[in-house]
Amino acid sequence: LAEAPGVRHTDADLAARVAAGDREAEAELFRRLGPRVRLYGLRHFRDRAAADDLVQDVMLLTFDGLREGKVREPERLASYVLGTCRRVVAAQWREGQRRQRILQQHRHELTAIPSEPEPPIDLDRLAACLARVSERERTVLVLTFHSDRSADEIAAELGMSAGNVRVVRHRALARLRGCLEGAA
Amino acid sequence: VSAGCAQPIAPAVLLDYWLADGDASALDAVEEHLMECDSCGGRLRGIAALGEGVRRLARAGAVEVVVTASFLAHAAREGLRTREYRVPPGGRVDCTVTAQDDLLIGRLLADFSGVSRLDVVASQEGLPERRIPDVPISPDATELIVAQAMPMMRPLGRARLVLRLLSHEREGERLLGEYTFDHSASS
Repeated sequence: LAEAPGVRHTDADLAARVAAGDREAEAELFRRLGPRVRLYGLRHFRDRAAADDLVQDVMLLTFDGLREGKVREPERLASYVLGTCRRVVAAQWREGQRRQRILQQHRHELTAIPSEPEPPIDLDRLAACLARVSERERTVLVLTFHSDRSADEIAAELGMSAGNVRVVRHRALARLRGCLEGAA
Repeated sequence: VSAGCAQPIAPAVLLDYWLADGDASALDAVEEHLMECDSCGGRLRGIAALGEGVRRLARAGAVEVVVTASFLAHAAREGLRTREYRVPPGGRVDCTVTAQDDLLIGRLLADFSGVSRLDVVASQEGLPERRIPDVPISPDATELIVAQAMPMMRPLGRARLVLRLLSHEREGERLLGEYTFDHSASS
């Protein structure tokens, strides 16, 4: 499924080819949508292995759906995939058996889970940048990302409003990013 | 949506999405956009990487930071070994840090009622006085909890660190407490 430079097959094109049994189209769709599904999984599971499992589950179910003609609007394939993500996450335990069956049937078709390279972070530099933000910003960032506290919870602990916590959190992250980019 | 993005999601919205903080329908809309947009997905990965970096630094005790009881509870759940010193106003404590400690915590007891802005002034012999302005504290709190930066504390030999808590008030500054830490290297 060679793509000429500047030419990109639409999701609908690829979906139609997958439905017709085109393995190269499957691989292309996997490369395109896999990283997005993985990001969804990271957001919901906070765990790389679980996110990788989700990619396998969702892509296999999607290919299954395409082959069986269950995808009614191939031009809206991303919506179908997102719906599948949501269903799998919501029912991951209940669907354990189905997942195993599909995996057993199709696992050989999947190569490595596609993932976008994670942005490299220089921890020494980040520590220097973290030391430069205000004390309030540093505390909010640490409680957010280390202690998994919500804006409401941080607000209650620090005597701030939740809205103010969100503002401080966003501003602090922007400062960190600016500091890292400036120091690069 | 591919390479670029005609309607990029605002960074604050991406952050709220990553933290699952916000109105469910708004988060759903972000999710739908991300399933079609690699550009915004890349920006979200950048936010996630920064957050992960902050988490790792905090877990390693790499930065000095004011924390709360929930931070200590989370650290305990993670199995981190915490050395704590609780000091009343006007108090002094002998302290150290060992190779086995993951975090070094100072708990400065004080009455913070009515405090709207708190500064901490740190003095250490041989070093210029350092003022940390607008330290976050709830008026309901009974202590200020400070996690020390382990990379600074581990190599420290004998040293006296004095912390003063100052409340900003209409009439000027009011001293809430002075706390003396006599630090020595662990034997």
